[in-house]
Amino acid sequence: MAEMTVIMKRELWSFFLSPIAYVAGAAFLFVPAFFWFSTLFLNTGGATEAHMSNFFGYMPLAMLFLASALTMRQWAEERKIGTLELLLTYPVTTTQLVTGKFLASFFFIGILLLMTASYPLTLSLFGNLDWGPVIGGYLGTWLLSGAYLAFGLFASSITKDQIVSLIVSLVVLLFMFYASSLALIVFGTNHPGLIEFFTVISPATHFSSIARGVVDLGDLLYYLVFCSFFLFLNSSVLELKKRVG
Amino acid sequence: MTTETNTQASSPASGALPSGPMGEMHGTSFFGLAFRVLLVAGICLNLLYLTRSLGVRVDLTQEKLYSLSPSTKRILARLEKPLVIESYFSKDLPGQLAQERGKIEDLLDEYVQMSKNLLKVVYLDPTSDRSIEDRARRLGVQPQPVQVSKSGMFTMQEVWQGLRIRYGGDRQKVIPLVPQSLSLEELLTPVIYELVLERKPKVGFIARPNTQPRQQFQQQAPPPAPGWEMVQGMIRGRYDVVPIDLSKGQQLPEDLEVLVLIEPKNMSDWEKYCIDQHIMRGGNVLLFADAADYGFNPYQPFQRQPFQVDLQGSKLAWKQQLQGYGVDWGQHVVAEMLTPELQGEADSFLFGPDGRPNNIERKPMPYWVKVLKKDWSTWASRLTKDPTAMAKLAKELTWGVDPSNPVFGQSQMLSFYWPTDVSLTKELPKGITGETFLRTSPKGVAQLPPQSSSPQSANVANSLQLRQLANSESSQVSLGVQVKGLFPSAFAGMKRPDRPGQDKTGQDKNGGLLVPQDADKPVADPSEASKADASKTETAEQGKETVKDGVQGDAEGPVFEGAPQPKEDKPEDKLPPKLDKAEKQARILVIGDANFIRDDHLSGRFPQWMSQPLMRGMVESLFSRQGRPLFDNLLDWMALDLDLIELRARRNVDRSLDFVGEVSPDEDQDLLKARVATKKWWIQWSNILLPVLALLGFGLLLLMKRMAEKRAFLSSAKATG
Repeated sequence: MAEMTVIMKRELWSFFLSPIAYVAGAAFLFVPAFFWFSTLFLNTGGATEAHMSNFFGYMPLAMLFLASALTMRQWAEERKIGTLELLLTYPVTTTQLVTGKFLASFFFIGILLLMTASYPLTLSLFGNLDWGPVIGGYLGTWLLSGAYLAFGLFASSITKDQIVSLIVSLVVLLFMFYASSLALIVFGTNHPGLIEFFTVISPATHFSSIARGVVDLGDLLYYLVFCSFFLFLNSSVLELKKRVG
Repeated sequence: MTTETNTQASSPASGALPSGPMGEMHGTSFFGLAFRVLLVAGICLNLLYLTRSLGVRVDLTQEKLYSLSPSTKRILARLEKPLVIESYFSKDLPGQLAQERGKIEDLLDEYVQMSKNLLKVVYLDPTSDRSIEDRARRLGVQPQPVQVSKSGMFTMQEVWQGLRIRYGGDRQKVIPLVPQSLSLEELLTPVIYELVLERKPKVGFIARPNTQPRQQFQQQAPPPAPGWEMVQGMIRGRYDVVPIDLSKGQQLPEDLEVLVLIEPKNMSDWEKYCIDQHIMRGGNVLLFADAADYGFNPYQPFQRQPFQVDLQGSKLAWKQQLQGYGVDWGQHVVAEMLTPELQGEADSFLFGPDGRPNNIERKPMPYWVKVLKKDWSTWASRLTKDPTAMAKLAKELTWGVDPSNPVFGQSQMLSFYWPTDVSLTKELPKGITGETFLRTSPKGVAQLPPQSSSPQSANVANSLQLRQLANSESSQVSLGVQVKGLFPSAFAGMKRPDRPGQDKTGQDKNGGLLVPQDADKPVADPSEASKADASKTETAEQGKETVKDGVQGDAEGPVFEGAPQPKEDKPEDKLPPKLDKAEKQARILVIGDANFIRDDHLSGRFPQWMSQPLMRGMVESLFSRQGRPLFDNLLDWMALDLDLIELRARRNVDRSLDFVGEVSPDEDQDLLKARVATKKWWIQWSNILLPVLALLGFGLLLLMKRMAEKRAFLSSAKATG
């Protein structure tokens, strides 16, 4: 645990020294806020309501780019410059390494999300904001980022090239997010079993439930299982490299 | 960078394997690893399937939008027999509807969990079986056509989403379609409530339309005056509606839950006594009071009509009776004088030289009062500049419409027509509590009903009247109150009033009732009514000597010497014992207007005026849209004690953003718009840019610090050689 905390701290600090993290973070903070505030004030008649559901509606896509950008170099860069072998010789388990890197990215995104706290605070000044869905929205976004990061780390571990890692992350996560909708387009309503399968595995289903303010134990377990599975895969890939050399 | 860890490197050369689960795997083969990955993937998928509907969840929304309300839980707790919900749901659904279906099924599952296993949900798919489809159609469940994409083609598909609710095996209700998850509870809970109650709550109506005398120049008889049939019709599905007429000596049914008393007029003591006894039995009263009637006659619009509350000869005034319950009825007509925006608008006719109307002008109508859901204490500074008076006003002024009351949850503004002032008495009777929930702005004026309430500017008298109104003493006039508790009887210590039709001469052959020849005729003129009443009083006086003692509290009613005793009265004719004290808690709710629920206002038609094209503008201006839902809510509040209103109100919390803030009445509109636009611009860009700048600023500071450290290191390295 102590080793993992040390890795996490070092990795988290490394984000603040990385230009990519700043560029991705700034884009993440600017783009959704710009679109959301622009539409929030479109209605000049005063009928606009104090809620953030539209803002959280932009989050899955924004988070997709942010998480992929943050994770693309985590292992790929290590492999490219040859420091992975050195890292694997340290007296820490691959699980500790993977979890440390994951938690660092997870907390970095948490800090970025905290920086958007001014939005609900502003809304609450001018209207009767229901904080429940706001809290749910933030929780859902953070958990979604965890799922994306877990997959992004795994994608980064299977390639030497950051760009390949980024593209794999973007494509697969985009597909997974819209899996249930895509399944409906492809299969129509002829295969309810398949549609149910894609609905269950899609992060979108679980995100929308939490983001509207309903925290279901099933949704929380989904994210836990999703993250654990891809972190396990990541660990397994590293272990394999360690063994094969 | 990523390789930097401060853990001490162990001796990799020693060949020691890292400890932990991955270390243990070191010796396993590639296939073993692949097998483990597949195994974990399988476990994860199974876990996802098993945990997708655990039913353990927290609803974070303020109004608990996605959870069953306490009202539903209370109603489910009253289930005594098995309740089966047959869900006629088609399985194949397009995307959005599939998600909604999931939420509906979640909510139905919550109904099951809250019902202590008495509620079961059975899912039937009408698209899978022809017999199920036939049964659904027979029950009245109807499919909805929706457009779906199948194999790249858009086609129409029928979606079934109806419910059949069966209680105890013999009672059932059908909800043909549940359009969305949010409306499920609003639709389903009242149905369950109705089934659980076994019978609909009984609501009695006493409503007498006014009459209009024929004018001298009027050749035809005036059309019948509008009444209150529509409000009775619209609640018949949910309530057992009983029209009540006490004029022939009938009694109120003892199982009456609510008595709706609309614009009481020409009230006899017998009627007042029956109402009092209903309250003593724990029955609720919903009273729509009016101090005057205006505008029936097409030739004299907005003119006061003959109107008398108490029948002549009545010993107890209705106003006095209400006071005994804690309600003070001022019998004034209320005008709103703050701004024209708070007044209704009526068409005012401009007359030509020939004396005929030749043009129409819209004029504010001060007697049509708009009541706002607004805290008027914030207006104290605009009403006075004196700090002491301002502080006093801020303390006295309060909300126009009580925002905490779910009855008004949907409405930001309510309109009333020639309302009258009703308030709580200065000292409420012992054991009675009360609340005021409707008030005008601080510039409400209560005055004795004027003869004319016409807004016509051409009318000199009316202009004078408006000036008088503007100069009158104003205050926040109360228009709606509720009192509840164990009420004292208004007839305590008094003799039971004479029952209409009561025979004093021994001629009665109708079970103690005498139906007069002209009983069916309405009392057209109060003076005639008073004459009739006077003659009855006279008869009563004559027969007084023969009345035996012990009438008070006599279960069989008054007995007269010489009168033939009925062997077996009809149950409804038997007089129950007179109650001087309340047996149960009751509630009386008084609204100072009955016009807003009158048929012509609810339907937007003034039948008397429709034949005259010039009057049509006036017809539209009288249309009262809020009357129907407000009446629904008021009645549910009285009959169901808020249970079902909560379901409607909780989805209607006002969350609109207000960037305008307090506006001075004399502020220029263009300046106001510019002020709001500037405010929005600052809010938008400060929120967008500040977090970005904070992040980049932090990065820049960090970079500068590192550069300074680097320079310091380099210079120290140079210094040390």
